[in-house]
Amino acid sequence: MTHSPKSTSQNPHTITQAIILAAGKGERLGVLTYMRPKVMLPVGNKPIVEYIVEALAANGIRDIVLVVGYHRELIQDYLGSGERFGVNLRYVAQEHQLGTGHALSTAEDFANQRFLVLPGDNIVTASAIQDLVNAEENAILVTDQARGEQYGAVDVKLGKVVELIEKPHEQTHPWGNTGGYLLSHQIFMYLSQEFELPTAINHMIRDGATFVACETTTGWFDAVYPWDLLKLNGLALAATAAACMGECEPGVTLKGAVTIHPGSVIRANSYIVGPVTIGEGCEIGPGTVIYPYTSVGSNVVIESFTQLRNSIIGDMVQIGSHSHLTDTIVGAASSIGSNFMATTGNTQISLGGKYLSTHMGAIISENVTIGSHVSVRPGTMIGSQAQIGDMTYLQHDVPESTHVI
Amino acid sequence: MCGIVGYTGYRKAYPILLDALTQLEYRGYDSCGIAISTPEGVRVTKSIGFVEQLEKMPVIGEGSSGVGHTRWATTGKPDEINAHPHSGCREQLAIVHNGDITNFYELRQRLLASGHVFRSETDSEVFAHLIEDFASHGPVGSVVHAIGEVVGSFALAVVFRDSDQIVVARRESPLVIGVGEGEMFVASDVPAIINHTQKMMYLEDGDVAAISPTNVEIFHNEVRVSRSVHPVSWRPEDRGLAGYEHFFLKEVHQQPKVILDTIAGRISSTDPGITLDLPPFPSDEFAQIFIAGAGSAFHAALIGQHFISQYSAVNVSANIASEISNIRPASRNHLGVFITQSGETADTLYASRLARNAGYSTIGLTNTVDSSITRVTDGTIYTNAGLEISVAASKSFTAQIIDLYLLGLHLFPPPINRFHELLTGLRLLPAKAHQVLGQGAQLKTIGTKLARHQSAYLVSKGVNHTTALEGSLKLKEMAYLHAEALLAGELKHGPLAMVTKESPIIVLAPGDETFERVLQSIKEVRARGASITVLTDTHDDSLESLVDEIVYLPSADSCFFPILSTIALQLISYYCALERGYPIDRPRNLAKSVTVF
Repeated sequence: MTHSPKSTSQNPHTITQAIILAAGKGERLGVLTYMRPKVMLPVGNKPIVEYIVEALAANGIRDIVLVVGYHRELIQDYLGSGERFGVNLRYVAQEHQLGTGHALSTAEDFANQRFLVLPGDNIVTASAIQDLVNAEENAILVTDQARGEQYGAVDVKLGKVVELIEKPHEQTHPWGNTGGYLLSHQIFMYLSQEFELPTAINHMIRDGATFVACETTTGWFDAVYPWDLLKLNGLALAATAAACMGECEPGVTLKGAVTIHPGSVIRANSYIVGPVTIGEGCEIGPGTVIYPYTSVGSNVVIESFTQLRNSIIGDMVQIGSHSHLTDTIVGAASSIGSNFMATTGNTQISLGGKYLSTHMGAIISENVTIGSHVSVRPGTMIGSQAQIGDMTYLQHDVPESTHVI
Repeated sequence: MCGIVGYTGYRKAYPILLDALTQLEYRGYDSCGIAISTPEGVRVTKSIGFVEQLEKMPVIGEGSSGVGHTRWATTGKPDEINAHPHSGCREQLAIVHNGDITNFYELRQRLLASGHVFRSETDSEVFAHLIEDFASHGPVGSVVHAIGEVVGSFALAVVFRDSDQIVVARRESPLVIGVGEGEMFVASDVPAIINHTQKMMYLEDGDVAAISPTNVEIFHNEVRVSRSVHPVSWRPEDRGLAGYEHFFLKEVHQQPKVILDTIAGRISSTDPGITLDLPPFPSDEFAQIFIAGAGSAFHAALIGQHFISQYSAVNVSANIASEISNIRPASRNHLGVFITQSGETADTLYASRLARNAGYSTIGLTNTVDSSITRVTDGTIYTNAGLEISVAASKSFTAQIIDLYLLGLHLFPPPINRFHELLTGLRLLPAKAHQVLGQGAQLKTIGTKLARHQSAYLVSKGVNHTTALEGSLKLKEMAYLHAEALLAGELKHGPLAMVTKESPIIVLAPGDETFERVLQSIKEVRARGASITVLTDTHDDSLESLVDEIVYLPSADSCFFPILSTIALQLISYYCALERGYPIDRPRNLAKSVTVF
């Protein structure tokens, strides 16, 4: 237990620790979080939580505690003890996801005098973290991006937080709560009675504590629904530059920011327009066409004459020849036969008991097996381990482990 | 079987040696010790038990060169006197030794007769007195003369009074020198020193090296030789627990990634071949395949044998390395495949030398780059499993099976349709392995219940008998539970007499052609009131009513059932051991790479 202040040689205000809340599932992402937590969904070929770890490392914050729960082993297997990122990662398990405050309280024994708290399922950039770290007192990262019913609002007066409003009824407050905080150890006293972090903070404010509102307009991103993942993926890819570390056979055309990782082979006459990223150990083509804002994971096989556009393809996915995927997400280790059609269009998707209008292709979970000549209506969700027989047209969502013939 | 370490440089040696020993505990942990060179003499600190016990001891003497040792007793009981390092009679030097001196009795009698006083019962102590006897030849000369007297195997490190030079030597036992900036490291195995340097120098059999903080001088048969420096490929993340309570559980969870890494770059969607980096063997067509290994590696050999036999008419045999005492001369179209995770297993190395001398073409299958097996075989196939710290094997076993499957497909490719089916199966295997890991909660319940019993039986048919053998090995070595693998068809010929209400049965029942007959055996044991757990990949209505618990494994080609069911058995064994409260990563009496015969 390290409750003592940092050594005197350091500036006492220097923040060296962050606690990342990564125990939740991410219900509103539907079939995509059936086998993995939201923090482990890939965006630009990296899990969301990796962006946070990297942003913390860039700020010299190397002592990171992850509160994990839902499918925790996936996070641990991927991040390890932090060696790859030059940070020291420790884990605490939150057995039941009772709230953000409860999650934080499980990390009490590891917490320093002052520390950052970040949600593991939003992308926060290094510059946004820098703003938060530089605050002299308690601080909350606010943004005008986080508005809407799924976010809490923050009532701010002259830079100081007046109140956190969990369920804002109307859009009267211009600032949304990102869930990123700079806190002191004092918070744990309040968390002994409260499961929700904003409620505990409101208590602290009423007791006279000062919370500064730190604003970020460009340093924070969230994906609430599956189609938001495509948007985030596009943003992540837009920041990449061309780099071919794999092998390209003759006749391959690469335009723009195409990243190909080591061990991947792009076979003859494939045509790829960036921004596109392709992971390690993939086999693409011959004659495969990939259009912008597509992420292809590692160890993926895409056969000849298949076309991808604005899509996220998970690790170990196999896609047969003559298939078309647009605005589509395919979860890890799904296997798709030839002549698969996932076209895009305006659609209504049922998530969390609500019908939501959007524009996208198919949403396919992990370990799904799809036969040949299968077509999917825009917006259809296919649950994990489902098996879809040849020559089928899917108009409705397919629950997990279902056989469709 | 022990671990040795050494350091000379500009930092205090003691904490570095202590940390290095912690990393080598898997090689032995019944006692340990450290010797430091000081101007007054060599100062030795020893303790019985784990390195953490040594950490609590007061440190005697301070200096920047020293050696350390963690012991797995073979000669002399595990106590503080027998713990290394050993000094001679005058505390001018101290030695640490891993290996086995076969002429130690004669040497000891001779040294006793000439007035030396022995303190311990170990064979190793003769080194200290021998080197003392040859002191007039200088540090390196004395070690060269001493090893000239010794018959047997050794990795040896010696530290001298008031000297920053340590002298090391090896024959058959492993030893690696880590090259740093103004400091040098010595260890039995890379992980001990990887935190300090990634540049490693591997000594050959018979080498003696004089190591100072800035220089390594190597002699072989009195001639100065040089050995190249290799960068190491261990991933540093293998060293941490990554939030897991035990390395075993972490390594079990790494298996999907290990399978991926092991097939990566070796299979292709367009080329009908397997890329294995093997030398061109003189004959394309082998007449016999002889696979050998010890412990889990032998089980991998059995599973590989079954797979390769399916696609070739060639005689394929799986052999227990320690049982191989003689191999009859044959031609190069006999292929020997020798499986050893560490690359240092003495029995397996010995068998590979026999095969080579008999004229075989030989392949080493190992997880350790530049290990001894790679130097005594014609070709090497690596398992890219990363560092395995838990004594009980998990991911290295799975990787060995994958490698043998790839070798089989490479040597005897099946018809093209089947070939592609198998490649697709291999590609999807990591995800299926991951699905098995996702059933941890159910497997935990099974393992926890098992902990209450005295023994368990694992019933199966065909190749899955090997899976059962591997599962019972895990239960024995981690949970100290008496577990036996029984063949379903053999139950009624004897073992059924053992089955009572008190003996839980685990049945491996893949949905292949053996299913009906395994079902028959389930009925036989059910009738005796035993509680039954079934691992299967098929949904069969009659099962539900017959057994107490069914673990549904993801459906896959039957050749992958041994891998997927082994992962389930690994988790059952883990939770059984956890419930019983045993030291899972370091079972009593066992050690990792077994470098003694």
